[in-house]
Amino acid sequence: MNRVAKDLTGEVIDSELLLRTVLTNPARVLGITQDSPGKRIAMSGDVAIARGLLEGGAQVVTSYPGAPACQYPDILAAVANKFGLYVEWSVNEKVAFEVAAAGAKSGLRTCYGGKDLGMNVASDSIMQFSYGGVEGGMVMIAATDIGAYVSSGEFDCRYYATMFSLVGFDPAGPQEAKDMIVAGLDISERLKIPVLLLITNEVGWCHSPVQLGPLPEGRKVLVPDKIRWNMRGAEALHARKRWQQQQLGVMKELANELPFNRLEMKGDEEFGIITTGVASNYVQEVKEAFGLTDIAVLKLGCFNPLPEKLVEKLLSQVKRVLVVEAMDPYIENKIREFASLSRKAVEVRGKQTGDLPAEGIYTFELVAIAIQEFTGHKLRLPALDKAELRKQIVDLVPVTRNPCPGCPHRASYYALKQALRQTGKGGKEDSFIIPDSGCSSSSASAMNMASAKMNLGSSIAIMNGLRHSGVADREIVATIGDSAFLHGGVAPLMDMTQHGVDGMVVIMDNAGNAATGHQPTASMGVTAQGWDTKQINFALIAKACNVDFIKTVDPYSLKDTQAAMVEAISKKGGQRMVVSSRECAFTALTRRKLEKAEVALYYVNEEQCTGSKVCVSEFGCPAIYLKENGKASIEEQLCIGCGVCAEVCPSFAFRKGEA
Amino acid sequence: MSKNGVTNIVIAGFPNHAGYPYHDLRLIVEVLSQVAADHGVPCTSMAFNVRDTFGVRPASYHLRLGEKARAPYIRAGEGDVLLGLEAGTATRCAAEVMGSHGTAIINTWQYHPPFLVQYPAVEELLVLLKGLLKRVIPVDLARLVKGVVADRKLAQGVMECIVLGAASGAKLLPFSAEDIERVLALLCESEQEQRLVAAFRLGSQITAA
Repeated sequence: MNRVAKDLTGEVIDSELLLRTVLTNPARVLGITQDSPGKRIAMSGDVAIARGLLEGGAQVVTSYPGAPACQYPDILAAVANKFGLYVEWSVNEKVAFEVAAAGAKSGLRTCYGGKDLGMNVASDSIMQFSYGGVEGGMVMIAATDIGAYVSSGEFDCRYYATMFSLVGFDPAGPQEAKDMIVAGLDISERLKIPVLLLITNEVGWCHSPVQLGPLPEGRKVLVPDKIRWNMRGAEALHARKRWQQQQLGVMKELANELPFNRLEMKGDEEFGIITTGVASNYVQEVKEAFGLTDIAVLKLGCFNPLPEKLVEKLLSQVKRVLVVEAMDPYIENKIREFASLSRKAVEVRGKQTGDLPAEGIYTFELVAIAIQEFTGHKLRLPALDKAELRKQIVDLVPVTRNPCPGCPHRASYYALKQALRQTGKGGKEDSFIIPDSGCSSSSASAMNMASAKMNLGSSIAIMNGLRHSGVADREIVATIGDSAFLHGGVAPLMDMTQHGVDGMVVIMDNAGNAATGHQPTASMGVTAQGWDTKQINFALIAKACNVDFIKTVDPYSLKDTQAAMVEAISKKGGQRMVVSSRECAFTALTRRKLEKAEVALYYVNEEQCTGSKVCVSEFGCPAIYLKENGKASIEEQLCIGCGVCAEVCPSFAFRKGEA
Repeated sequence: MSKNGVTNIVIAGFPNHAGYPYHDLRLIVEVLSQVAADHGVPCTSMAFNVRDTFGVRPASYHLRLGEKARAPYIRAGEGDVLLGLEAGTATRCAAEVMGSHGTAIINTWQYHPPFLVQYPAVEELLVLLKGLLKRVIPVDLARLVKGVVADRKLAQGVMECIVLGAASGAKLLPFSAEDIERVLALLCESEQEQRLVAAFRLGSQITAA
């Protein structure tokens, strides 16, 4: 393995796992292991989480990857041996949570992390585990993509803090994210209840200076505690209704003193704003930009429980309060309830009253307009100049999405499209393709082949449901990535065979979680920490499930892949699976960089190109374009030499090597 | 620098992925935010549409440097500097957030979207940008990259450092070239560091001249 990164101290970090993420962004690990309290290092929120877990003395970190916070486990894995950490990319969020929870119940400080939707997967276990509490400290990280830029939606995980009686933190930036992890582990260990930390895209992907704290000395010793392990029946009820509430009561007092909750109030303000997380930055900037001195601001870092003394102090001062928060009106409703219970005659405004939009990210303008309406102040918001030209530009430049050059999913989908045509199922009414989440889904959308899409691991079960609901005349194909299949696709496959569903599954195995940064899956034979391990075999899983037709292919061998799919479709009836296996083009390219391996690219023999346009209109590799003379050409910058175009072209115009 | 003492920088292009080995948009953010940290200057940033990988998908970063930088997004019309690694994506970002006082450095490489999607020519985009911004600096980055590193597999980050150097040479950044080079050296292992510093200096020479 080549050296790929070094710390500020000059210490070289060389680890196999860095291949997946850090290689292309070596700066991500800058300063992560430095024991220099007070030093300021620029970090993304994702990296700040990693640093916080080191400073907080976490010893077990588990996760299933999900944007916008999926690099910290890899970063920690790179330094795991030095810090006595165990880091795991688990098969799904439920498993990840249970592994981390076991450590926390046994006295260690641990962390579980996943995407917001992953909280739904883990929630079954979280509820039961939370009754008994933890012996060591435990932080749960829920990553939320506000505005749904790279996700299926924005899901507000804060409700879980209420539902499971967790302490809830919402940082305003990377510095607070790091500090809240450290404080969260302390508080969790002290109160014996887990802490939920919300990481939004505006924190996870934000780079800003972070002041380092000290790194702890020594490690904790595992002390399994029987009492906290057995929580069932009446004991669980008691824990839920009494013990958890008692601990949250202690936290309620503590919340008033936390540095993350700040009330800025002189005592003569007419208006109040309660804000949380990243939204607080916009409030602060608007307030400063317009010199708004008659607004008291309560910035909340802890959303569960609320710092009631601070809230009461604000509500006693002002008659109107605007709640500025991202996602759902979670705080707004809590404040309304608190005002009602404490008999405060305060008008509470926010999303519920239409002062702020129900979804999406905030902007300076949006918050400024809401504050203008709320206070009645005339804020001078200049109109954007050259509006017509700006509109002309936005209309002119299309937003395109397309899989990478060399993406094996493109080849798999192209083969599927051809196979459906070849078997007379090529029409829109003849087939129904259900892609799963991740790159396999994005590729299907880009190639206009997605008929429906739901949650991670759901495509096979949706196929089953469609068949049971009476869809009989169409070829139904569930496509699912390797990680998604292991995450949640195996159980639906068993359901498929048990109930005799007629359908086809294509596992698009690109060896890892490509969309989130190439984290390893259980089929890769490597762990987060780079240990060689056993590999899960997809075909053997299918065989154990008694799937009728199983074939493994390499999508770069387009004709073989198409032939296997034609065979699968032609079987008509029963369960059919094609495992289309080829390493993600990104990792392959990265590996080549490391090995400095020569790659032969492709070119177009213009004399043979008939201008059929199949390569650009059907296959759609970004490295291929049409010249003005209507002939295809290859963009040398982009070609990675996969060679699939040579099989796509009906006139064999694509050639390997130099023209 | 904008009126309120914050320098607002937009970085736009296609993100770090298989097809574009030169691209590593995040590197510019990482370098400049570390220089800001070294100087005790507040800094905040945000990524739009960034996924660790997924093909040809427009992405952009907002980077804000200065005492009053709080919110991560640049206010519409307050973008000061646009570093465009792909002309179309950059022009779109310019329309959304750049101020007419701003300057853009634009890669002249022509992108051809698949599936026969119509896409404007770089020449057309440059005309529009010139109508929108105070100054537009077109740069043939693909050619320049080859001058720094012959093997494209090793070109990760080189394009970004040329652009960064060009911005520095044109006096668009609030930090000195020495400060930026020092952080580049800290961030990267020696072989890569040499390439990136060379790329930065090349970019700087282009605009300084």
